[in-house]
Amino acid sequence: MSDINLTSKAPGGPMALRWTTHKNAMKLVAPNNRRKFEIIVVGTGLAGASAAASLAEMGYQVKAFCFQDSPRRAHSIAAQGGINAAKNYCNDGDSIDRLFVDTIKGGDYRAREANVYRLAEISVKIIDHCVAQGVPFAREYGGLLANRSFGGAQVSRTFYARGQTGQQLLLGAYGALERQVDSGRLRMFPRREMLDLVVADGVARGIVTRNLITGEFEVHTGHAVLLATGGYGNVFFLSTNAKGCNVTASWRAHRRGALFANPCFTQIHPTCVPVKGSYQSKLTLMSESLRNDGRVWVPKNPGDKRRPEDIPESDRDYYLERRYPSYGNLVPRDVASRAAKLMCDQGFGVGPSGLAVYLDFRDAIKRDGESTIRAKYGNLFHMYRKITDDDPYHVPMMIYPAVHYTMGGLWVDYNLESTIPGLFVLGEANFSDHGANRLGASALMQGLADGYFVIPYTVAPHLAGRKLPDINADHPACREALESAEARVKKLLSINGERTVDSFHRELGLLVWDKCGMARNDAGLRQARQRIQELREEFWSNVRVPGSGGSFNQSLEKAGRVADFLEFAELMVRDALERRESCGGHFREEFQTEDNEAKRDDDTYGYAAAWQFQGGNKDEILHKEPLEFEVAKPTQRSYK
Amino acid sequence: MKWFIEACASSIGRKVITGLTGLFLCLFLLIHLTGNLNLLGGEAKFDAYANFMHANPATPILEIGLLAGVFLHVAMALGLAMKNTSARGDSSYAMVRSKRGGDHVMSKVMVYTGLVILVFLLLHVYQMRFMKFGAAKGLCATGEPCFNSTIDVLKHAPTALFYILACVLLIPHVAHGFQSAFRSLGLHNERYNGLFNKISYGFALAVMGGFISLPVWALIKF
Amino acid sequence: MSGNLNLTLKVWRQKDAKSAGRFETYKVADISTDMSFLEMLDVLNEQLQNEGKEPVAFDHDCREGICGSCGLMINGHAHGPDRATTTCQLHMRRFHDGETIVIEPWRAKPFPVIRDLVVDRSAFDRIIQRGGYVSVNTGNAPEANSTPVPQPNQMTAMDAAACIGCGACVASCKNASAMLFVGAKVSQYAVLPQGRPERERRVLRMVAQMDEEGFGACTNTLECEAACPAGVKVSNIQRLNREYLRALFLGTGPEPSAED
Repeated sequence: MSDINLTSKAPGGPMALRWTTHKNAMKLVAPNNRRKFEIIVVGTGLAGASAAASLAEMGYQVKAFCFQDSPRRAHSIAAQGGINAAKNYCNDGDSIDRLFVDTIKGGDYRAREANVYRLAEISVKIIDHCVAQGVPFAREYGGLLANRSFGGAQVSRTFYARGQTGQQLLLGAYGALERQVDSGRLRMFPRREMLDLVVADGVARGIVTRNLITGEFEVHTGHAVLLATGGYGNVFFLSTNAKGCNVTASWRAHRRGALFANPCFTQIHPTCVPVKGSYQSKLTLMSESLRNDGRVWVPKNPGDKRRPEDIPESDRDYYLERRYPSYGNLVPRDVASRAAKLMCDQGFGVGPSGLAVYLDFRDAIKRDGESTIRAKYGNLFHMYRKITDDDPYHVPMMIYPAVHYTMGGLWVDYNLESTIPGLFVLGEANFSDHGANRLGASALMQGLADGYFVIPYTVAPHLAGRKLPDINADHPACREALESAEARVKKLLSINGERTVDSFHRELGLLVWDKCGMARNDAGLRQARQRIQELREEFWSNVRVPGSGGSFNQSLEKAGRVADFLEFAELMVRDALERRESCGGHFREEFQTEDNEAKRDDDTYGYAAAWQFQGGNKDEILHKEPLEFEVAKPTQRSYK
Repeated sequence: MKWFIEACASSIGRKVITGLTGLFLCLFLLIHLTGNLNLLGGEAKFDAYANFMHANPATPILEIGLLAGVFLHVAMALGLAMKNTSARGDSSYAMVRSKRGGDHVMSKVMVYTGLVILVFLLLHVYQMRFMKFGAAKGLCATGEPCFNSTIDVLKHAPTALFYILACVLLIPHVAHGFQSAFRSLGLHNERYNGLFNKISYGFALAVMGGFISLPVWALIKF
Repeated sequence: MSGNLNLTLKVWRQKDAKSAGRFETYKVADISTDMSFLEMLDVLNEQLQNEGKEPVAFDHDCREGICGSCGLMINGHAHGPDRATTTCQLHMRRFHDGETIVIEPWRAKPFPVIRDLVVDRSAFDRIIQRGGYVSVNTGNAPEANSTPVPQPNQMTAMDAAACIGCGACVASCKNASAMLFVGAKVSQYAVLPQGRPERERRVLRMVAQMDEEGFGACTNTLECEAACPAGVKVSNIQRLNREYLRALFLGTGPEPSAED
């Protein structure tokens, strides 16, 4: 366990040829042999569904699992904006190289160059494939594909299907998956929660699941295990993630030996509907395109209780325009988020909670007319009104940042293989492509790249190159994993304490949001770590999980997930403590420039931090994968 | 024939057959009404019409077609109704309201109006074809002069009332069925929705009004 | 404007598919009008758990109206009284103080109850398995712009593809018909050139599966359209009928081709 070797396995040579070189050198599994291999895919979002479908098409036997009632409901479905691809259909100078550099820079130089280049290279094939699947991307009158500029990019490379791009891409992948169910090569197991990973003789060979309807535990074995189980944003309780999103599968794999990389890299999106009350269950994202026309402001006098429309120009502080005269309201996500927090912390926040800022369309409506604004943002205004009962045509919107995406995840090499042989990690669940900050419209691109065009190649060397003896549920490793999963569930049900699962989750969420959210500092992180340990202890002695294990029991599902969040949260805080620099979504208050901007320390922290589980309450061990930038040389960002 | 058997077995196929036969029966209603309106022209005109129909070699063929149409229409509709009832399952909602804002009397009562009409049809065919009703001699079915016997049936108050009731029930049946048939055939189009609805109601009212006028006329005049 | 409500809830409780269910009556107090309907149920569930009772099971996930997990019959309306709204996007300001709210699961034979308000909608997945896709293997797609798609066709396809698979159409239909769901998927591919090659096979197979699952047939009450949170139109059912007839007469059977 201790001699971890974090080599990326990415080949050298010219950046543009690396993926081709790598593919040409990889072992293959012949078509007639593929049916002998069984591959387990956990999670059916963009990455999972596309991987499961592609592998089954090739002839592998695939078993796919999701906790939702249907694979079509994975949270990829909620992505709004679009998907990037370096097609250069707009003739505005886009290229694979440019997308690559933008992504590396956007990630604040904490991603692996070779992976990012491959992502940019594959992006064009994703669009071809999705169009062939019948995904109804927006088109021009001539019938050809339309593009838009997104997230402050200088080229128009974003493909979109109204405000429902994630939905359409996922339904495409879901259709492909269901087609393979029909072919008999893919078996789908919905309403299953993965509770443990089976590692036999050092290789990932199966999973333990709980059937969420009957409560039965099941052991599923195979020749490779693919985790495409998404991010851990719900550690904050409130996020834009779906309620069911969780870290359990990743965390269980981590406990079995897979290193967890950069857990402190979380993305906070600046334009979300603010929290209304303590009952709040989730946060809703409003597309960041709103900042193209809306002006962000707070009252100049703290605690100004006047209605926003009654506050005269002289009493308003358009703080983004004031602090960043050249970018104004269009500064990147992390900068806008931190600025909003700063204003609210200083008492300038608005709304009942004081944790919101105004996003005002008054001037844009005056300039362009209401109908123009309606045409651009009508659906968003409608959604905002539905949630808040306020009409943004007349009253400024209130917005506040919220957790949106997690760049950290299980460490993987260039083959997407974790430090456990045979365990591959795809999509948001891995750490590889977005560094410390993800660009808009890149999450869909990465999920589909991993599933459609990377894993079908990179799983072969494992299957063809390793000895994988037959294994079934009687194998000691399977029995051990099963027993430990059963014991854990039994324990959760037997505590019978005083507090509900949600009350623990809310407390944990508030704690990490406060201490390990948009801004972090040494003292706060230490306090948080201490408090997380106490909370975890209390959880295991005072949680109450009603109902039985042998039936459909949503409290039990949540309890297992929150138990893992309570372990994971400590690692996230630990990672944030250890990274004594600011970069991307990770902002350490001690490390900022005179203008309150993130101050990177490339010499000391130019690595991916990969943590190794040590068992029990022992501190995890940090391993470092140095990041080298041969093509995209690091520079400091400035938006003044 | 394979396609026909397949169609009879599938929900859409059944809808289509119900719709097609329904439209065919609507056409029959129109022809039947046109013929029957001869009644208003008096004995000579009506008997001449009856005679013409009778002498026509196509009539028996049309009758068989009509019988087949009625049979298919009823069989498919009942099959659908049974399938639809079973699809809701054993438990029904404690509370159910329309979001569209309309009630669905038209659609809900199709089976019941249909069944009443079926009873009417049997009675009507029996009375007009096989039964010597009242004092007058002559059955329409045998080609004899039948004006008087027809009038006898129509002026018999209980019969006339039942005929009128059946025709009234046919109004929603035909109105919903007519536009529904176009939907089932896939011919409906958002652009013409309003027009189709108007045509359906117009057709049902006109044809049924025509039929109802006959017993009313007989009751008043004779 | 925010305020607070006291409500009486009549909620369907059912232990599992085999057990008989019944309504239970609960009171919730001090419900903010800014809450979503599901947040109100969260409050109820916290309350029940603190009383040592089992919470009410209901499906939900994204809570922003796109995943299609949630779906409740609220006072006789699928997804509650608002149009074009999922249960998770319904807010308590639509109710008034002192109101009694009846909450039931979707009811249809092909959607058996799993527990309380949770139903099994896997029938939808099985229908999709029979043809809700374009059969294209990863890797063999042509250049994306090699086939232009007229903008009106793309819009029609997108309107149909917006379906979130929640099952409100089935739940609100007196016949528990799934034709809006099936019609939307068939339509999406019928109007796109990419869907044309397997057009006949798709509609025949999907309709056959729909019938096998036990869904009813459309009788044109248009309730599905009114209940659909994604705004899918009944014109998709007409297109389904058209496509079905076309396939029937063109005679391309529903049987899988040899290489399958």
